Amino acid sequence: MISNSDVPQVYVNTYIDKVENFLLVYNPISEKGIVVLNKEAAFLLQLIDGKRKIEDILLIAKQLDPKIEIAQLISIFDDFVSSEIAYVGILKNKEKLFSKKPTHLGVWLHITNQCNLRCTYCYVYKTSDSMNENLANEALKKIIADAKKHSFKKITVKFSGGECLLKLPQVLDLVHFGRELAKDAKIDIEFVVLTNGVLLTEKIASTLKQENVRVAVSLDGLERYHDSQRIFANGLGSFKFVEKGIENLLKAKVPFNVSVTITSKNVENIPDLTKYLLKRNIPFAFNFYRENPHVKEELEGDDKKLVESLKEAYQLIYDNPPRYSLINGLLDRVSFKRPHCWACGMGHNYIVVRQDGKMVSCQMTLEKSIGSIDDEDLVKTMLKGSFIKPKKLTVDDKTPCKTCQWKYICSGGCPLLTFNQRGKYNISSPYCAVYKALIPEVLRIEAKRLIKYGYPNSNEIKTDLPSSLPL
Amino acid sequence: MSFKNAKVITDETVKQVVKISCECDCACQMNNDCACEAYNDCACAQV
Repeated sequence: MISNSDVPQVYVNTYIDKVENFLLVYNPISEKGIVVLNKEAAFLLQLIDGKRKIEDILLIAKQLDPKIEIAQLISIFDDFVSSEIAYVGILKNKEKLFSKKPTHLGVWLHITNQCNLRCTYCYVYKTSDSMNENLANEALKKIIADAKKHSFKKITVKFSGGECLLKLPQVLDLVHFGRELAKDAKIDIEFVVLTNGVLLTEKIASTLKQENVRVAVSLDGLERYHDSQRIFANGLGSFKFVEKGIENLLKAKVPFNVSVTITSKNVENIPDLTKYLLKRNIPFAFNFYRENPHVKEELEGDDKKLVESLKEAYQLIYDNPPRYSLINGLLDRVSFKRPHCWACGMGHNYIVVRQDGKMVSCQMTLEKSIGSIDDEDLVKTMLKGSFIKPKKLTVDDKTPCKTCQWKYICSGGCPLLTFNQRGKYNISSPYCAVYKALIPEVLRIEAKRLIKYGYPNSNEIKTDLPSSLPL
Repeated sequence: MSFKNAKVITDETVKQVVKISCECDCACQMNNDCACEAYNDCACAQV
């Protein structure tokens, strides 16, 4: 609790914006997320100048509200401090924010190379190879044992491919096996199926629900937009099948989300797709296309179109935000969950196992093995296996990112994409300008959600915010 | 202006205001205390 004589301060790089009649405040080095203040709270925040004590602020506040007591004022400033938009005393060392060892291990099990689709941007070279049962069981067993050894508390296993639902019986066996092992090891485990959605029959959807397996379905647009890039081997589009699959998931009440890959071919349809998903109350995430050696056509769009289309989509969400937060899925690699120095878990807390038991750093580099499940310690193999040179290059080391306000939420974007397009890692992401243009828009969406659900009478607020906000 | 009306709204506020019965048995960090009434109306459905 703060005291009368404390001098509150705001964090460097705090971002503020006006949303409706509220003030959005976002401290990018906080784990607390976005904060919204009504006009009274906003007024008090603006009195922070790094010199005034709480007792000085009380004197000013009393001129407008003679009844205010010191205890009330302290309570409000305590809220500022606990939501990490202000601090008193010495600022905690930023390094501490990033020194926490990750406790959540992501695992990508590439069950099969087989797929019933031939999506135009896919990074997988299709063969008939799949992970055999013994190998898959052995991989899971070793992953859980090594995760335990390295003190991970939770594992998320994503079944991928190819199309992993082609191997559903094996997937379910692995779910059962993995749950037993995790229980013995006292580690939380969850399973996710990454699917193109074509095979999601009523029966399969209901099985996934029963087995408590979560699902991510790829849907890249409505009708012809989806069909322009997610096609069967015979060239026909898959939209109708995926739509039916999604209906089945909804009917079976399976927790799922939709993953959207944005390319030059579907970018203009993103607002309509957003409308479609919002109407059905389906959570979703937008990912930007990443070029890879298997793609035979030009799928990168221009930044201007991407920004315009996403702004249009964001406006739809802003107008009627769902109760859950979409913020971490609206802008590619940008994540507001907590400040981070690396854009992904590669080399830190992310294990990828190929169908032949080889390990790779990232699913986008399936050809580049860094070890195998026969290695003595899979976590050690993962830690050694980052392809970034130098391995420990963080966003703080990236010259163009050093002074950026947003560096701990985009963390420089996908390092592989940056390297592939620009030939080195120590350079800004090809999507840097897009991120910078859209991060404020995404923040506004989250602020609107907080206002709508956290302040149910917000419609009654007519008074404007204070005009001067010196932050 | 009455400062007793000052409000600081965060995601935690939303979770407290919107009540709360999770049917999705999700593995979300909210430990089944998430802001969903419906199976899919939940941030934890995002994977």
